[in-house]
Amino acid sequence: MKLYSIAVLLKTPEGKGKILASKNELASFGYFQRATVNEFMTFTSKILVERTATSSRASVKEQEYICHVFVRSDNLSGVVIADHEYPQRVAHTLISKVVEEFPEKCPKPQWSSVVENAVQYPELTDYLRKYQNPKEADAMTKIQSELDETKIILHNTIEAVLERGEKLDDLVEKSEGLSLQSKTFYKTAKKTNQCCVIL
Amino acid sequence: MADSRGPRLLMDLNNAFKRDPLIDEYDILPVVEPKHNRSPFILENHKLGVEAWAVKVLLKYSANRLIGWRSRSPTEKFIDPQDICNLSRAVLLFNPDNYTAWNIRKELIDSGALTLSDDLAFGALVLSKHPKSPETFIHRRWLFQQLLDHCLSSSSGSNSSCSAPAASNEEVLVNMEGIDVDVGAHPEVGIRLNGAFALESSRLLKSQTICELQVCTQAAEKYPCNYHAWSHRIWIIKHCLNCSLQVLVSELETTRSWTSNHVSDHSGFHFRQFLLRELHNKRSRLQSSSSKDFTSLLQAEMDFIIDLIYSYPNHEAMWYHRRFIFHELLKLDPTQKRTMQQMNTTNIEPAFNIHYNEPLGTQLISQEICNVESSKKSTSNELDQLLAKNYVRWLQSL
Repeated sequence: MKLYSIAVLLKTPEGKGKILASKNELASFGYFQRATVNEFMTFTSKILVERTATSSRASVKEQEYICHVFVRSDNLSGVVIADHEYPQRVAHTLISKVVEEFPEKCPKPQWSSVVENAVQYPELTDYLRKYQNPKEADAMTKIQSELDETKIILHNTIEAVLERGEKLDDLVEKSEGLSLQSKTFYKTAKKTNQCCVIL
Repeated sequence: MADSRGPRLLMDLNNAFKRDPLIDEYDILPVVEPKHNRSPFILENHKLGVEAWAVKVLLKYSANRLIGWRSRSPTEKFIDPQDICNLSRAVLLFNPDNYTAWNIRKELIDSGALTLSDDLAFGALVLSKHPKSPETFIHRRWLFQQLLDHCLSSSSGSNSSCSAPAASNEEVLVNMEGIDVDVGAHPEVGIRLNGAFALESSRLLKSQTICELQVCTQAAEKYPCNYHAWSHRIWIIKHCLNCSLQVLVSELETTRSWTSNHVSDHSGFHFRQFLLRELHNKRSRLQSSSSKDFTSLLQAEMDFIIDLIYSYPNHEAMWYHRRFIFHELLKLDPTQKRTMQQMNTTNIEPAFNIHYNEPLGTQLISQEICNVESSKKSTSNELDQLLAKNYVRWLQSL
């Protein structure tokens, strides 16, 4: 089981996802794919936060990956990307912990003004490392009992999260966060039905 | 259409490997059309990237020439062995299913144009991109067989005690273990006739075997449920490490953390089942040599899998592993079963009645059913309930 990414986002009043702080673990991906995977993780985190209702949790399956998302009542959100073996409960516990802790790093009034992905949150690196072993990490967290797993909405694909009339291909095409190389990667991977990159 | 870019690309690829012989990973870059007038090969940090359009051209050119040479077409009659080696490399990097190309490499090894270690390194590179290519693993087994043959033939020449033709397989294995020990302890063996060569090839075999286990782990990591990687590991343990007790025990130890990190990987669990089965066959030697007793190993495995099942619900592979362990438990001798049962009774709720006048096997089964039923109550998950139910049904059918 692997944990690939943790991100703290803000769901802006316009309904856009804005990354405040994030950390990815890409060592298990091919050297030349890492930049693309990185971009797609950011892209996916954003579209999931944008399409998840305030104060709700969801886990979205995509091939062998699962993206866990939580949007808190004040629109501060967290996304964790893991593989399908990683326990859902631990992933959501980690999100809760990070979202809880985040205002200490960056107080609420600054959320909307701060530059994208510029908040210093060095502990994310530690979490990403420690939580690779969910059993060890789980023992440290105390909030686990508060989490009601039945309230997590499950989706079987990212397409299922999209709104009516939306298409993933169009979103990828229009995205400003994805480089030309990543877009070609997405298209060729889709054509050959490879599952080499997230999405 | 004959593509004139082919020879140029092949040359570029060969140069890339000449510039950096330590390339340990390669990948195809999503560049469908040649966009600029630069080489489509990118070499960075020991990683080689090849643009997709170039792969197509290069593969077609190299495969045509190689197969043309193989079928003795008049235009390809005379190719230097080094060029054949390079052509087969270009083909296999992007199409490792091409068994003819692997066979051509076998011939190159026989003729001495290619060394065993170089080809092992090349195969490891292919596996970094194609971690479950069966042809690559099969070819590696052939390479190891060559190494083993070298060791055996040269050691029988050097060591008088081994010169008698090995009657049974077991004797060959003992012989091999002897070589292993000799490497460090008795350098004077090397003075004997052929001894130096024996020493060298056994050393090579030893270091390559250790690397090979690493290669298997990497392939298993890259591709989930990688049957080919795990069965190759079994082959290596059987043929290059003689299933020695020490190896079996250490493998059981090292794959433990791997399986607990890959709870849905049936192939990983199957490998442990192989280890346990081998240890079962050698249980008397295990007891006498390391004072480890097989029953407690099996019990430890049972505790391990039960803990995993409850930590990571919803994965069927672990339940099948539990079935295997329980089935092994039933095969134990009555006295061992008795110790098993005593180890278990401590955590049985008194509400469950065990009939002690029944045969031991039946008692163990009802005990196991109780264990599952009592822990089933703590989970609300539907799939997990179903998996537990199936397991109980299987127990009842025993």
